[in-house]
Amino acid sequence: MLFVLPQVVGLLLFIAVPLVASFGYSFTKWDLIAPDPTFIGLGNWAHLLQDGRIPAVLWNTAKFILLGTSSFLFFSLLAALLTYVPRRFVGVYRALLFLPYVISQIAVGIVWRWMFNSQTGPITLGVELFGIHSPAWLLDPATAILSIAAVTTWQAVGYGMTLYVAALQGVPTTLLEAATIDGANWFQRFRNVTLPMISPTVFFLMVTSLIGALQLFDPVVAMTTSNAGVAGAGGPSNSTRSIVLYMYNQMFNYSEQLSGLGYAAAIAWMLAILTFVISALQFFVSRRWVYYDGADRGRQRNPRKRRTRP
Amino acid sequence: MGHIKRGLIGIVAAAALLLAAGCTTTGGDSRQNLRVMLWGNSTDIASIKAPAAAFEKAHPEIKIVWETGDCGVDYAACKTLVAGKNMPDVVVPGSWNYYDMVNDGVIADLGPFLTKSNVDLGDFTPLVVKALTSPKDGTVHALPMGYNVQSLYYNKAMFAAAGLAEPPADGSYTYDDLRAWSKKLTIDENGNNAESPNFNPQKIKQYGYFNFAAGLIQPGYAPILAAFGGGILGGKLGDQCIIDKPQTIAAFQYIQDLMWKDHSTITPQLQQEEPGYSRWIKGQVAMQQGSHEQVQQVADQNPTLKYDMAALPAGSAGNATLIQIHNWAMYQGSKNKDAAWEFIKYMATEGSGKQMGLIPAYKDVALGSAFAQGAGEPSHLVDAQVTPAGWPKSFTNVDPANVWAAVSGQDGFGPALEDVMSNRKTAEQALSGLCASKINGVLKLQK
Repeated sequence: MLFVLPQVVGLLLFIAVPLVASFGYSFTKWDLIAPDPTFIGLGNWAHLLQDGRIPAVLWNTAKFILLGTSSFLFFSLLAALLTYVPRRFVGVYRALLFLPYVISQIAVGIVWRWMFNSQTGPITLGVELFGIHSPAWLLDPATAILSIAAVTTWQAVGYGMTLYVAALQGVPTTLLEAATIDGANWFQRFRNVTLPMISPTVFFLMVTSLIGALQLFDPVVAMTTSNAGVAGAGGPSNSTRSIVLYMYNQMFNYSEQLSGLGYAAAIAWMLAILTFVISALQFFVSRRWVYYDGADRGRQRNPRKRRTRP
Repeated sequence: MGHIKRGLIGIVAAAALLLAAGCTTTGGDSRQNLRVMLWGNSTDIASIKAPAAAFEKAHPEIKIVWETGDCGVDYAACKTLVAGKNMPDVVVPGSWNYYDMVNDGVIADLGPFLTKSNVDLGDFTPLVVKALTSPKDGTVHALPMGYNVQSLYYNKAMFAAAGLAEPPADGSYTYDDLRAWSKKLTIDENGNNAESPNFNPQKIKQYGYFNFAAGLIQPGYAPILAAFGGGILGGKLGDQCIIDKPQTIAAFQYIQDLMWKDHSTITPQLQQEEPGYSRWIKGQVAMQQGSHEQVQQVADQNPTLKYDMAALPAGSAGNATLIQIHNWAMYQGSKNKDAAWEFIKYMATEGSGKQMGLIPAYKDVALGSAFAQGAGEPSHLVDAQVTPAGWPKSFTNVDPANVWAAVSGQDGFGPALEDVMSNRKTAEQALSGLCASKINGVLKLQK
């Protein structure tokens, strides 16, 4: 008990207490300046349902999830497939791919903002070298969220690759050899042997990257903020304002009837509930496609039931 | 287990001892601590500490404890300090968030202190006093540290090379003149200016003009809007939408044309690549709209640059410029209000000078030789930076209704501004009917 005490105290102080407190604040109105919060019952929650900006910021976040999470999962796997087999300089390739992950998101955002500059950016100039008219990237509502998703994918690929490499190296070669003897081609081996064997890793990355994507904030601020500050971020034409950025705006930038900690806490809890629901859904669906080598999940969950079966 | 428990007790005791040592004052100092929070760069902070040293000498009973933080430049930082019960006694609010603090009761009404002291508000620049006087109840919650004025900076060598006379220092020229000069001063890599049929806008090596409108910020575009007779918000409290007035649309179209039709002005994209003011300091841009802070930046970064300044030109409605004020204010919850007042009073009056590179607002300090003829000051400083504060159409960026953040953000005219400055839509297309379709709704949501 004594050994786990520091961890329990830390969890209570830094996780449980803030969670409970923020839930309590969601029933109050507080601009941080008044001496105390004012209890307003379900006022913030009712406003949440009526706030016409919420669907827009949720849709922006959903677009980012669809683009960012799927591309992250795909390109991480691609990078892992290219680098998991030991060969010359593979360590260097992996290190280079992992390098962006250790850089701060703000620094990455600022650099890529320059890369995407629609007048002088290397990407724009590169595209135009081939005689193709380059989109305005971060200045075009149609491509801004795509550009941000591309950058977050670029930054996170190294992390995903590392986990995939570990998973791929754990795939028994005997299974692959057996499949080869049975006449399976490369794609069939990948589809029917490798992918099921690494499915727990795919699932883990899917859940965690989706949770991260729901919390999109830093890249948007770094890549869309003008000199007007965070209050003006989320453009062009509101196309990249995420739910967390909107929460920040309501917390610090706006001076509306319910702006402040209370409404921001309600938004945060809505996001937490959304995250829980989506994650739960993922876990539910995962039973159909995630394969845990050597484990019968049903039996693991209720071993007694199995033992009493005749 | 016994030795583990003893070890733990020892660690806890050692930590308590360290904590106690950290919390103990150095002792023997009976002076009253006054916490003053500053923001800005090291030069700004040094410019405040110099007169403050004289204050401490004159008030040996007060010890200033300096802190640096964003409260004053960013109201969010003040909120967290207040909520954390860690607000300093004195802060430096900018005019842009002064009324956030006033309306929320964060900074104290200086009325009682002004009444019992010999400070006369009539000794300060009238526009500044007007800005700091609440339009709701006439209270004053700060004294000015100083202000900055948007003026035209120009590169003397580039004007001479183009065979142009320098802009009149008193602002007796027009935005049409500025546009014509900007075209003549924009030169491509073959030496053609923007008026030449052979001009190549893809290969510009010298731009004619930079305005912070490229950064989508108010100090950049607001003076032009006012000179054209337009604006974003009007009314006594600044809570009436006027962004779709024809004059406002004409002014925004003027800025867009400079950037995208004439190719003579730094665009938002170029600004993102390298700020226009930095290009101006490097000698790559002939003119820029800027404030007095730029004088110090030139001195620090390119002291060989030959430049001067002029008051901003006239638009169809006359001359206008934007004034931003930095202020001295005391926290409403301060337990050292008398000491705070003594400090504020000193810094705004006797200590008035070059604090944060601003124009002093007290009496005629700005006209005195120590300031106007100070080392490194441009020769037209008074005409360009001091006199315009008295223009009838000059204005400040105070926000008595606390609506600017929402109105200028993504819920307000932010997307329309992006459309205009990035040349996606004309000003007419982007702004026409915007008050009714969007901004009035945002204004209704505000407190």
